[in-house]
Amino acid sequence: MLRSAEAVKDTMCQRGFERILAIPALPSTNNTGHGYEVRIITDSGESWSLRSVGVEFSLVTRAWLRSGMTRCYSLGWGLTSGGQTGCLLLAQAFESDVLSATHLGDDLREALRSLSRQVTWTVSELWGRSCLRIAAEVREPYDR
Amino acid sequence: MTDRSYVHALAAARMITATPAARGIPVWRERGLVTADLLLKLFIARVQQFSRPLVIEHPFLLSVQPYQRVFGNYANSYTAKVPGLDRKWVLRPDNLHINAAQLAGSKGTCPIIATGGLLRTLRGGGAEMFRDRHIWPAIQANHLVDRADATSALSHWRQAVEETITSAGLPTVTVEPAVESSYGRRCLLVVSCLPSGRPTVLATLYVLSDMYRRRLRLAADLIDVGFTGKIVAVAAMHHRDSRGLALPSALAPIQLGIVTTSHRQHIAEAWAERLKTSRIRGQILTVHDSTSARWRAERRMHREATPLVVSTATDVLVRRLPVNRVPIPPSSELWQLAAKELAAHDRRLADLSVRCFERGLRDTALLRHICAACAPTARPAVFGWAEPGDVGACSSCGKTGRKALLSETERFY
Repeated sequence: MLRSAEAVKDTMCQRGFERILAIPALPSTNNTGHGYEVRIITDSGESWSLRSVGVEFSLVTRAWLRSGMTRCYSLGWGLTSGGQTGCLLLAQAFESDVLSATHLGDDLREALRSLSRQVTWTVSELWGRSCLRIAAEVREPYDR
Repeated sequence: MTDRSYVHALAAARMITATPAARGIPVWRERGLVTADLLLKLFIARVQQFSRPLVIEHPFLLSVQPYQRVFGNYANSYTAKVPGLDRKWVLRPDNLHINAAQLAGSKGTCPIIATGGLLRTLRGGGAEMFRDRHIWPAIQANHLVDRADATSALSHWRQAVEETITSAGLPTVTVEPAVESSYGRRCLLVVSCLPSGRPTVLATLYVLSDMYRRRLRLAADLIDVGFTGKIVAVAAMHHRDSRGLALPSALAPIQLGIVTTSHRQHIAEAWAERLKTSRIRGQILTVHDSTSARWRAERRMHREATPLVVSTATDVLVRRLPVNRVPIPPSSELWQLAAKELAAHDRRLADLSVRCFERGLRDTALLRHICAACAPTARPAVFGWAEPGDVGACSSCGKTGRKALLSETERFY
């Protein structure tokens, strides 16, 4: 990984986020509810989602949340409006209230601003908690 | 694959999540990502002894035509149109054709090591890191060589792969299958074993067949080397004790855990600093000053695959396999002691898996010397011949033979 990616990792680690594998594609029907924003239908007729810029994603299952995975992120390949990137950040955090989640979103946007082309985030209610989702296209040349 | 205890051990060590994201798609957590990265670095270091590889991860969406020109209409891949992009794409099922195109374009002699994952269809049940849809990490190395140099280059790659797997505390035997493959003009399989002693393939090495060389439009020979996270899975099957996963030091995210209390924090920090300069991966865990808190911390660190744990409160070092406590001699330097203990830990792990290997292969005579005359009638049949060649008396007739791996099944993975 190059410098920006390492800086992103440090940023996330300092805020208590755990890194998980950036899975590039997921079948739309799965027991865990994992998925990304861009949907495709394969030639074999299966529905999949592709890791992509956008806040309509789910990285964490309810069971994982119960086991303490309240903040996690993945960093790796993804689709952007311009094509493919090797360094897309998707992060999800569960906070006790909207204010804490919003504060964390603001803090991350500031921290990631200089490292990313675009940062988008949203807060919504999920499983009785305030869920922050953040997506950022990290500035990296593709090859590494 | 019915015994999933290795999955539970990896999940308890926080290396993967307890449940996959979907069937055949395990989710690696931070510690697992670190271990996979250590495995890759071990391999790169071995390869650097004979070459200067370029390490790369290709895009996940690949053009369909170049892929199909090499592999035809393989049914094990996913193709689709993608919103916002104009053509049809294949979701990276292989790195071979892109590695080869890059090597041919650069006309360089440096090999390419491609990292990342591969996505393939999965029929039937999966088994984490054995049979997955998203195969990760999938390490695939390709090296363009003159035909005259192919044998010696393949030998270098074989040694690099074997040494990498040995660092994971696993014994290996490399065999050249008796049945020819359409994929390779030469094929080598690096075989280890499950704790039951059953052989299992951990890496493949090929000099590609002329058919594939032509499809790739290459004039020179191409070496193709591949292995996956299955190495970590097999290591997790072998290396466990009552406290959980016990990885060899080369793959352990943390090699030495330091349990301390708030008023002894400064001692732990001084230890950790010295460990850092001696390149031992240490981690401090600060707990309440009570025996039970210290024991819980020690157990947690062991469960998370840490080979050694020391305590600043009691000045003891706790080993694995078996779990036992040794006092830290007052005059000893911790990093020197840790280095010695880590080496001893690795030897214990290797000895245990070698015993499984010998029980499964040598003691059952599945690995033995056979001469050319006895080979066609050998039962079980000869699966492959050991590489490098190992000459000895044929176990059937006593004439000069070569070491062979025998197998009840025609193919195994």
